Amino acid sequence: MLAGAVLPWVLLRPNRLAPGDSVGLPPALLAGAVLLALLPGFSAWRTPRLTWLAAALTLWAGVWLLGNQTGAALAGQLPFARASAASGAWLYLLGAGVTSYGAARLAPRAGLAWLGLAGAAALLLSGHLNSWSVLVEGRAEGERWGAALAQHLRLVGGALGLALLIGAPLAVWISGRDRAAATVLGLASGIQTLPSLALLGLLIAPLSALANAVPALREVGVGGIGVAPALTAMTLYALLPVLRNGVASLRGVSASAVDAARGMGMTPAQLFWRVQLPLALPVWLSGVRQAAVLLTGVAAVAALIGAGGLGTYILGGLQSAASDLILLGAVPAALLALALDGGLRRAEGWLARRLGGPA
Amino acid sequence: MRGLGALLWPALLVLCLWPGVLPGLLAPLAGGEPPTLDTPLWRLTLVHLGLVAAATVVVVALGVPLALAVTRPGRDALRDLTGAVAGLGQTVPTFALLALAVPALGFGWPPTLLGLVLYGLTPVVGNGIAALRAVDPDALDAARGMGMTPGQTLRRIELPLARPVLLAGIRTATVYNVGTATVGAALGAGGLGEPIINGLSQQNTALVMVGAVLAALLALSLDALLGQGSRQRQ
Repeated sequence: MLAGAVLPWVLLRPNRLAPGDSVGLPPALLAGAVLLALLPGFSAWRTPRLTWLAAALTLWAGVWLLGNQTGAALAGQLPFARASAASGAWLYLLGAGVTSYGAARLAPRAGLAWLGLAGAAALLLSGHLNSWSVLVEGRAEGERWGAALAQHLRLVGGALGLALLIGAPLAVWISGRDRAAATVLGLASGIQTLPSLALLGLLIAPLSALANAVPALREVGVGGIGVAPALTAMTLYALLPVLRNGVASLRGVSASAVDAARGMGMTPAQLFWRVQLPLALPVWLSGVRQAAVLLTGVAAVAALIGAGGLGTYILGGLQSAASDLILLGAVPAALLALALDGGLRRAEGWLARRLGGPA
Repeated sequence: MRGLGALLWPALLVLCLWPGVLPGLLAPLAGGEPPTLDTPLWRLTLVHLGLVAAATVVVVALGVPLALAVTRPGRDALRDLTGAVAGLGQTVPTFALLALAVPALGFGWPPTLLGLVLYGLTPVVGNGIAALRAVDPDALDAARGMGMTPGQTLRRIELPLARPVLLAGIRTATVYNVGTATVGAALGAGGLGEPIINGLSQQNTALVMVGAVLAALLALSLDALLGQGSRQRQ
């Protein structure tokens, strides 16, 4: 059954690097890549328990080939030459990633399938990929890139913190009040319907008016463009998942557990902290995860109103049609979102096991 | 109340598209000068709608058969994997995904459409799988007992039962894509994001507001209209 899951995804991948504009794989490597692409499918068919090994090998080999080929293409070129990954390499890596994802579900231990990722990271650190154009740009940017990443994380963290500060008490308050819950959730989902770019734009006028009216606010950095509208918009966006899952999880706490606690003579405060909150937490956390992933995306768009972050590189790359700069912003932003999603998912599973609530 | 809401947003949208109304309203923001645009507002709105509609058509044409194919009996593993991969698509930031498509596809409509389709697939495939799985097994048994072929079961039992949730997924995809298409203006796809981005780079708040108000109204209108449509069909 699970063999079927892996097979069709493997067949999706073409096995050439950089077709068209310059170089394909030399015949020997091409044959190797084809074999490697077929390996996980074959292994899933014959020896499902070892699929993780094949998948890890495929992923690692894809990254190694990228480094090897960009290095070979650059040999004997002027220092301005750039060797970037072309569609074949992207598709190959995408296919290898999906295969690893599928193999992780087959493997005796999920972590094993991601060995390939660790291997790829090792190649990156050892400098094997250094002639890949994105890293050439990345080295030139160096510290500024680090600052953009930090700013991105600050934006996401700040907005998430604010949303929790407002949303968590609000969710607790409205979970027992049907009419208030309908109003607040309706309002929050209305905000979610608004396009992020439109919301960012709509906040410019009121916030700059506010800054003009109260000069003290301008001193602390509140203005029409920059971090203030970005944080405001992102907080508003994050409120919906936090509120919705908060209300749903608190209402989902089984009535018999609440009755039993009341029967034991718990005060309402004890009831909340010892029974309702622990039981609701895993589901609530999944709302926080959705908010965090959503915010990583909105933070990239926020670069358009001058809030900084990784979106700056995407925007700059688009304006100067420099695809390497785009990738320098887009790839880490995508990886960040995936890592946040994966990490918080694990935290959810751990909490659910720990607290024994519904997961 | 709900019926009124379904008409309120489209009515406001039409009012704002009336020549001169919205720029006139926003004139105080630009020091009394109504913001000027290279392209008329109705055209930007139509381009925007066109992008979203084209993406929705592709999403439905790809997503519904995919959801159907992986929910046939005996394909549990494939179904789980498809659901997980579709969910993964929504995790990648919009702007990043659109921008990642640029080196391969160039500027303009192609990368934007690709992004819109990938984003739209998540709710359509996700809801499709959930809806088809939720079909009551007793109903399927009864259909089989009546001698229906698998094709008949699909057409007469599964699809009608799954339709409300499936339609909700299509509605979500369409409304989200109004937002994603706004970001597409940064790649030169046109649409209502264009005044927002031009206004931001020229520091012209009124111009930003023109695009933002219209994009917001368009999203709210489509949400209300599609919500109304799916309610009536039930």
